[in-house]
Amino acid sequence: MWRLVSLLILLLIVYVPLGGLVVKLLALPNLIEIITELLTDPSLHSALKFTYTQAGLSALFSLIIGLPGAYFFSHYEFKGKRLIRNLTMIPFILPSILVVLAMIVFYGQQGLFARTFGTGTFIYSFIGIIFAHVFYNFSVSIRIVGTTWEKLDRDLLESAYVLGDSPLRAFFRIELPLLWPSLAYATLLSFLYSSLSFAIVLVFGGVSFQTVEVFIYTLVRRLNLEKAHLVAFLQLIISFTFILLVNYLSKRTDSVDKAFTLSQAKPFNKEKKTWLKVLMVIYFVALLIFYGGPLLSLSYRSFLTRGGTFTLQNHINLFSAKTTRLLGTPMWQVFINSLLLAGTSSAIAVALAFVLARYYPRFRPFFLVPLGVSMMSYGFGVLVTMKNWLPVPIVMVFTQVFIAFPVVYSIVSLGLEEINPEYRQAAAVLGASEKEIVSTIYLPLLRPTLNSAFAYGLALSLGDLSGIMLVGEGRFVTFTVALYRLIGHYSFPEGTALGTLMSVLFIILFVLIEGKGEGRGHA
Amino acid sequence: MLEVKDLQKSYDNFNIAVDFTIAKGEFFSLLGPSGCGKTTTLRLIAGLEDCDSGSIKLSGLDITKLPPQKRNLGLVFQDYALFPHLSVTENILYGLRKEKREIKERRLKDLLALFKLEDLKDRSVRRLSGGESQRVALARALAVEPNLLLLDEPFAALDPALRQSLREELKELQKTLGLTIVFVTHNQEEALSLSDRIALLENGRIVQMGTPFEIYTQPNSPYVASFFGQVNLVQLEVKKGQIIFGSTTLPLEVADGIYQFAIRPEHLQIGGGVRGRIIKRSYLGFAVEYLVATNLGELRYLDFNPNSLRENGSEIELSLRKALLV
Repeated sequence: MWRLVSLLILLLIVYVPLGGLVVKLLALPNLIEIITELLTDPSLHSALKFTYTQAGLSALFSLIIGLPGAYFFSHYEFKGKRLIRNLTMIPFILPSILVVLAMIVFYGQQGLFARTFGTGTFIYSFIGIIFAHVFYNFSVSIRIVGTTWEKLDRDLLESAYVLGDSPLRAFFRIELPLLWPSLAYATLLSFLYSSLSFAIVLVFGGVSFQTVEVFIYTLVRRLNLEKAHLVAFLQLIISFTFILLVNYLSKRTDSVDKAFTLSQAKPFNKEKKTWLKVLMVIYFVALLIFYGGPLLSLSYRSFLTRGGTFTLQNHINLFSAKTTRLLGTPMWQVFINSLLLAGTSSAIAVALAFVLARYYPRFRPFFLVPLGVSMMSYGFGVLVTMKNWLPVPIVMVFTQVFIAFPVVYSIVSLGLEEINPEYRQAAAVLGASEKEIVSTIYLPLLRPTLNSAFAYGLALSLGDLSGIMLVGEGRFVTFTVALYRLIGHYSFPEGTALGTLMSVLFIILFVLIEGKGEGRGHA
Repeated sequence: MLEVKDLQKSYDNFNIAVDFTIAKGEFFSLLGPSGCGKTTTLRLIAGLEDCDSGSIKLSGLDITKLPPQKRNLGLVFQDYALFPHLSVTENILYGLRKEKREIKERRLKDLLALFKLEDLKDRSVRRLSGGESQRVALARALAVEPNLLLLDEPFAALDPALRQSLREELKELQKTLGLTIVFVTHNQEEALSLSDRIALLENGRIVQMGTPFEIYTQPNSPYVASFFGQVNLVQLEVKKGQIIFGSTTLPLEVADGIYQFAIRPEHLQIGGGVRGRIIKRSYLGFAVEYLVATNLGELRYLDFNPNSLRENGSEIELSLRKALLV
């Protein structure tokens, strides 16, 4: 009963809007007309061109920047490795609007970087957009490539050495061919994320650069709904193609598993050469400056007056009447809105993920679809299918569950797979009912996984801007919307203060997510 | 052929110090429990680990400082480490990158024939059985015509039935090709049946080295004796050149005193000597093993000609056929 209800709820949340998007489009009376008009529209052409060019470049640079990190983390042991590795993952979960603000504070006209090096600012440009996307995605490359690389069977390399290969030659003959699926996977994932980028392009792109996401949003704002509908559909088709590719590649990554079973924890290379140590330090220091700098200076600036003396006024001002006027909602309400929405949505996503992963493991690819669907396409589907007959708060929760679900589902189903099925069988033979098995075996064993999935869902939902702006129509203000408005009104002192509070919140969430690593041994 | 001299390597809480020489064409086993340093010794020879001191000479050439690429050795890992993205043929030819095409082709043909791999030559190594994988791994290692073949537990990943036949094949191969082999194993039976000489390791040291016969029949310590199967360790008195075992004696030319002896279960026999009571019985098919409580302690006794089974609790008298002074 519960299983079926969960399945139906997911269908309602995910597939009704997507299906509605398609069905309603086909029902448009002047469909052919709109299509012809749209296809000849130069602004669509430039949006498409820009979206996929920048996504391609962003993915390429994310890989290039991430690869040395993946190499160092997988090949060497050094002090503070765990900490550094965790730190590089932080940008990935931060809301993009927060990254935007941090970059303005550091690289902007008045930013520390621009002033120190007298470079002026480069962020409101094509390069700036790519820079921000790399900020986001290099950690994906490090993590995906690094973990596969780390698990690469050392015996293979040693065999190649004994058979006469230099380490460099062995890299090309053994490591690269075995790593390529994961390299491609990481690149494609970065590509997908960058192509769906919204907040970064909205702020940095101005009028000259628009991703398809921003394009749809602008069309909706101008009430050009039919056109928006069609573009959303187009984007849906493109994303689908990529999801299929990603899915295929992630399978390929698993299929060379034979090379990736580390028999014993042998160190990869015998010792670090001095020049390698130097390179490693340069690499991490560069990451710290270029990517850590913005986040650090964001917090630093939030405690400074315009004159440069220490103050708490910026934080206090967040709760002032002026800020309330600017946001349209008092700050305490923003806190409640954000936490309530994200908390509810993430909890629903975790519950759904558990039931669906436990009872419908075969539908897995079908559950992961939202991962690649653009928020604008989905949001538009929501607008045309349920906005008129469901209360706004519920629709908002739907969009957030949609955002959180695929990642939460992946984490939970991975956790479930790690539980030895013999536990369940043993419990069943001992006379436990399915309900008792779930409450006595699965839930306790999965506790750390579920916590981490919940924290991840919370982070994703708290980071969402596009869904909330589209469906909430600007009346529902969360952290990200508030931050977007503060930036829009050039209220940078208050912006940095809110940004700092959010960073703290996200770092706490990050620790919760990563905390799962500790408990893993037990399950 | 291979001279390993005062080779030393230390780790945080473990260090290795070994010294041995292997003749050309010899099958030499490094035997010991896990963590005794046998695999590390092999890796030192292969150049996959750097030693702290000592030297390794191969055919008179000092290779201590040479990287693994330059040592011209063959190495087969426990899990074979076949390159999963390459076919059987590509795996075998991996080390012959620089050779001329004719040489590659000839070598491939010979090896495929030698290891009966002709039908599998285009197959992906991911779809090989354990025994096939082992043959490909050996062919790949031998393709470069190494001076020395290093084998790290090559039978450990196979099921027991297959192990026996592959063991015989390996011995056969070594004889035909005149290979010099360093073989790492924790399996005493494997070492005894394959080796020309065995070095038994404990905590990074060679505790005894010799032919299988020597090492089995003349163990120099209780550790060595008990490594090769069950053994009864007992203190016995020797008086006037006679070991005293209950009411019987066995000659041994040592000074009078109390010595420790290792007595294998098959070295006991029924007959007047020490009285005892059977406290446990295990039927093994080819023999019956009894655990007998005596005033010398509990003794294991193997009866190879059981006409009938003795009951637990029944009286038994054992005498001594042989005892190893340890």
